[in-house]
Amino acid sequence: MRKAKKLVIPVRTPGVAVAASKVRQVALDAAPARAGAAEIVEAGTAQEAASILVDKLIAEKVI
Amino acid sequence: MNVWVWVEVSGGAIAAASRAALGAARRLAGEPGVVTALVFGHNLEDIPEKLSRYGVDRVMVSDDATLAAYRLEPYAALLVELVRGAGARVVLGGATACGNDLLGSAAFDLDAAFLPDVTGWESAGGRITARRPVYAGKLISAEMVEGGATAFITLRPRAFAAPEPGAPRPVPVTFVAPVIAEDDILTQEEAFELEAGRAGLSDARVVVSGGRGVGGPGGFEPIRALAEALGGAVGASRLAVDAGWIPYEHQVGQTGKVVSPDLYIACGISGAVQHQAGMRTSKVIVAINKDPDAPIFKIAHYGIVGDLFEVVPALAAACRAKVGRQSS
Repeated sequence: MRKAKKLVIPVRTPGVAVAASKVRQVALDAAPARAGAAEIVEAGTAQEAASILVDKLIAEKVI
Repeated sequence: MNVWVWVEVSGGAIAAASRAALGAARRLAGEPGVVTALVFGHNLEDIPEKLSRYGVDRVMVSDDATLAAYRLEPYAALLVELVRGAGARVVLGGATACGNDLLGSAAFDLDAAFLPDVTGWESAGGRITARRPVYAGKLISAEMVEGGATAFITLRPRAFAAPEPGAPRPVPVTFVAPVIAEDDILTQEEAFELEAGRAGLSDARVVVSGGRGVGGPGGFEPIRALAEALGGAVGASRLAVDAGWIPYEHQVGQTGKVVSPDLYIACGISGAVQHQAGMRTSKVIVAINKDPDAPIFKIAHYGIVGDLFEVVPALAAACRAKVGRQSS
């Protein structure tokens, strides 16, 4: 939690002490799309589906 | 190339986003280049030794009570003063709330280039072309820094790999004084509370998020249990936050946090483009939703069509059994 003092807020203006640098956009491309649709995990029960999914996530080395 | 890295320190530890920035700085600087770590705060005695493990060539420390907590005025004034005095080609930081705040402000004060939330870059002949997601992540903008002045760049957390710490080595440390006295700082911090024991969203390796489908505040309990089973963080869609089911700091998306974990599990989230903007760069995305036509399945790697209140507890149990973590 922060509390601001009742002071005059300074006006910021661009400095001139160093030479300016700037950004120029050189390309704008679509983000690479992920190949393929989601692999839907299907099983008889939620527990079975969860177990299959966990095995896949372990194989992916993300858990 | 002379590259500086503004290092965030919390509780005596170097933030994950800063460790990644140090690794990126080393690669950008190249072998003849110099990587300088800037660290501002208070009681930083052991930080230079920790920084030496990440390949820095020198460290600049400003250790003062006025810098104990992040505040824009003293931090930006000090950074601007240092850049003016001994300009770097590039100043890097993590694209965290503080990193974007500080480096963006310093860039403005110096009339210099600012590239926020960068996810990749090329450098040739001292010229940097950076890539960053724009328009809710649907487009990638390639932007080149022109001019000879310092460029300020923040790196999206987890977009750049953090190096493993090496052995400590002696590095020159320069101590610098703050440039604003306490009485001249507008903002005073009265209290600061850190949620203990939970991974921060931006740095989390695993994020489990809930949306409209959780149905209410109590619906986040299985989400939290799964996140704890995986040692991850809890996220939420804007709808869940707007409904008051979970605080804003958990919001993922265009108007919340941008995350890029190894694993993102979306539970009861339809996957609006605004939500996707905050998580689509996750390494593996899992969607759990009753609606097989939910847009989230179009960007997910794995999906389960079903009731999250059945699937999520089952998933937590399977994780505990197979991965070995215990829910607290």
